[in-house]
Amino acid sequence: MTRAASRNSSAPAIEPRAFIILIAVCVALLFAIAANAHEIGKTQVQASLRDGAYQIDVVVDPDALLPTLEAYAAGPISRDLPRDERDRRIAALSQVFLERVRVSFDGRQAASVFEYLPSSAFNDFAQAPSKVRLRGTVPEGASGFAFTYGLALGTYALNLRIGDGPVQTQWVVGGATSDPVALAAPLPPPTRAEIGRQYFVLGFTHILPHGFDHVLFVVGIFLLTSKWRSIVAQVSTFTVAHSITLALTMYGIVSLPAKVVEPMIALSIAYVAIENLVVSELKPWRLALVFSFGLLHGMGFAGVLRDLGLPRPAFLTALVTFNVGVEAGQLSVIAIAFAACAYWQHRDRLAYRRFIVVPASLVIALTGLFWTVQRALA
Amino acid sequence: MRRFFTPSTIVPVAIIAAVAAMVAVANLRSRASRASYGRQANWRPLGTRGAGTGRADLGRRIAELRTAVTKRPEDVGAAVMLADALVRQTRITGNAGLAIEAEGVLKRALANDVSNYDANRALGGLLLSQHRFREAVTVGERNRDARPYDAINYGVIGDGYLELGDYDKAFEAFDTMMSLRPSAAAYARVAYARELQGNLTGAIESMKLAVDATPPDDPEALAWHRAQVGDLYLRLGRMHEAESEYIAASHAFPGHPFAMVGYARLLTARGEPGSALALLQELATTAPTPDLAARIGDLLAQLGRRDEAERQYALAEAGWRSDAPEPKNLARFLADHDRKIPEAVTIAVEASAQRHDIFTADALAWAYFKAGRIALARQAIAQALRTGSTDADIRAHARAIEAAAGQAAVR
Repeated sequence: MTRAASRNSSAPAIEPRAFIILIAVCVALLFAIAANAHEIGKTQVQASLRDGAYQIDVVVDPDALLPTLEAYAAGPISRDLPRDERDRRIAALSQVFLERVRVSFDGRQAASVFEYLPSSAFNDFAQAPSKVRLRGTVPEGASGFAFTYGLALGTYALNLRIGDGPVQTQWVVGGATSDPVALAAPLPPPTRAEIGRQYFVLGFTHILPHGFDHVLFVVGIFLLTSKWRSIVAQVSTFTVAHSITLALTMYGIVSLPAKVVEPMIALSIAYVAIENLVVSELKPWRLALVFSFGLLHGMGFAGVLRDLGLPRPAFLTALVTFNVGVEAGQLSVIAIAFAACAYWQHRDRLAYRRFIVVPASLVIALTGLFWTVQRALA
Repeated sequence: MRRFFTPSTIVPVAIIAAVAAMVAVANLRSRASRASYGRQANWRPLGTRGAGTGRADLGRRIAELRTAVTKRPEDVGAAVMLADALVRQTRITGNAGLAIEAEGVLKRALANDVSNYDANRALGGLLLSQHRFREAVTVGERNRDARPYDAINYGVIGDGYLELGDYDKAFEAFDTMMSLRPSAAAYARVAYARELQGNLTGAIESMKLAVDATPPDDPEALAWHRAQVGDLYLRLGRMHEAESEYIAASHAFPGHPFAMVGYARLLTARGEPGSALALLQELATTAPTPDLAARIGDLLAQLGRRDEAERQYALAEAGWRSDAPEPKNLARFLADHDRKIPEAVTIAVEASAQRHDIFTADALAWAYFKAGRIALARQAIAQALRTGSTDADIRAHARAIEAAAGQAAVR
């Protein structure tokens, strides 16, 4: 018998995520140890509901099934019977089986037809399991299915398939009734196009309206110069860089803790804004810096994406469309900034720099520095 | 004034105001903003305020977390919380499948973040609960290497070694755990270590400290600890204290199986097998196990209801063979009830090859004894006695084996 105990602590009313997880892990671990666990047994139930009928195959160990049925029949317990005789007696105890094993729809027990398929029907191995097959009709208008297997002194897996839907598995304790299952087939999994659309929107909304820090970074890039070529060069460099780290991080090739990434992103915002105050043309080092900052932002995007979760069957689709959504969000920021400033960019460049670039960059720089400190201390 | 309201001033002022507004909003919503790099968990850990471990609370919690994890399988925080709740439910219902579900949830979360420490730590505990002790030790040691000052890892390592019968390493791990951070978990492990060494009074002291360290919002844990204290008092023959502990456990968590089984043992010891039988039969309707069937069989036999007892024994044997395989318990059951002794020996030998703990050694010794192989029984019982345990069954078996050995020597 295994033993352990709980570890508990008086957690504050609002905890950071890491602390909450830490506490939960401790508690989970310690109770896992104390769980007085049992091994999973040999009994399995495969249920299929289709076209108004059900078929339930209970896979059992016949050497255990016979004494169990005999015990519940309140008769003498057989010992060491030949296989044929054992199987004959199991089949003869069908009524006991049907009393202890119930198929119900909307809480009402259904009348099942019992059929015993001994292991010899499948192969000649002495230890091979047998099957008991229950068949019947799903009542008209039934909406919920439940199953009770009152012959197990342990846990068994109930695998249920409704129509062409996916297999649903429940772990049920012998004697207990399974959780009711809705008879409407579960919704089909989303298509690739639906996943793509969903992750595109997630990527876009991560920039607009949720990504204030990324917006400020992009505005910082925009403010350096009014030359389109320079803006495009910077945005393209940033895009390539963050796409690289987003993919590498999501595939688990590189990793940096959020504790490091977050303040660095904030610092990158401050840097581009401060540089806007001292230079007014695109310099080569600026592109190199934007590239390295892009690498950091990519890890930030990966953090979001990891938290949102990527659907395993469409991992690449979700990754790519999320990235495209991020790009669309960034281009929208540029477009809005351009619409707001285009008049002054072309009419009076000096006034544009004096009254727009300098004060806006100053505010962005201060904000970036504030976030840097705030995130470093968080 | 008119000069001030020119486009050249309005536009920059508007931009600055917009940026300032964005900053203000960003900081007012700083939590939401930071969520970009780590979504805030909405789940409180079990056993803390607002996340109680009462029967209804647990069921509701599991349903909510299943939904959350289905939506976001890679959310490690929700996965760990779900694993926690499922393991608690396993203890109450005996549904071992829930631990398998918990493992699946954690492994899916780990698939996208292999090195996630929280999930790996939770996995170590789950492996223990599934009796995969060697794997649990491996995972625990890997986690310990990653964070050597995390006391929990030593608990996992110690529990693994304990079940494998490597008591020196187990006790050393528990000592380290205790020195790093005394907690309910550490106290309970110390209690068990003392119990294994025959120090029942010391075990009670430690287990009571574990009770004191358990928060009131965790009634399930409280019930479990109380039931353990009750078991220890019962072994010392202090019936009144044992009864108080079982009642306190049932008060904290009505129907807790550990408290019910303990109380049934107390009633039996007190000479009330009929009451004990009723209690266990009630428990068997909700959480049937082979062990419970065997206990019910023993009580029926004690009450002279032999046929009914045989039927319960048949259920117990079938259960241990098919529904809840536990070779050590099956071997011990067969030996106890003089059934299929050669098979009991075979099963116990196979179990002993896997685990070297004192209870498996005792099962082997008892099977050998019933088979008349006294020399081998003496070797095995010496292993069962090596920690100094005062377990009543082990001691009784040892006496019987020594008596048989003495007779053999006389002959």
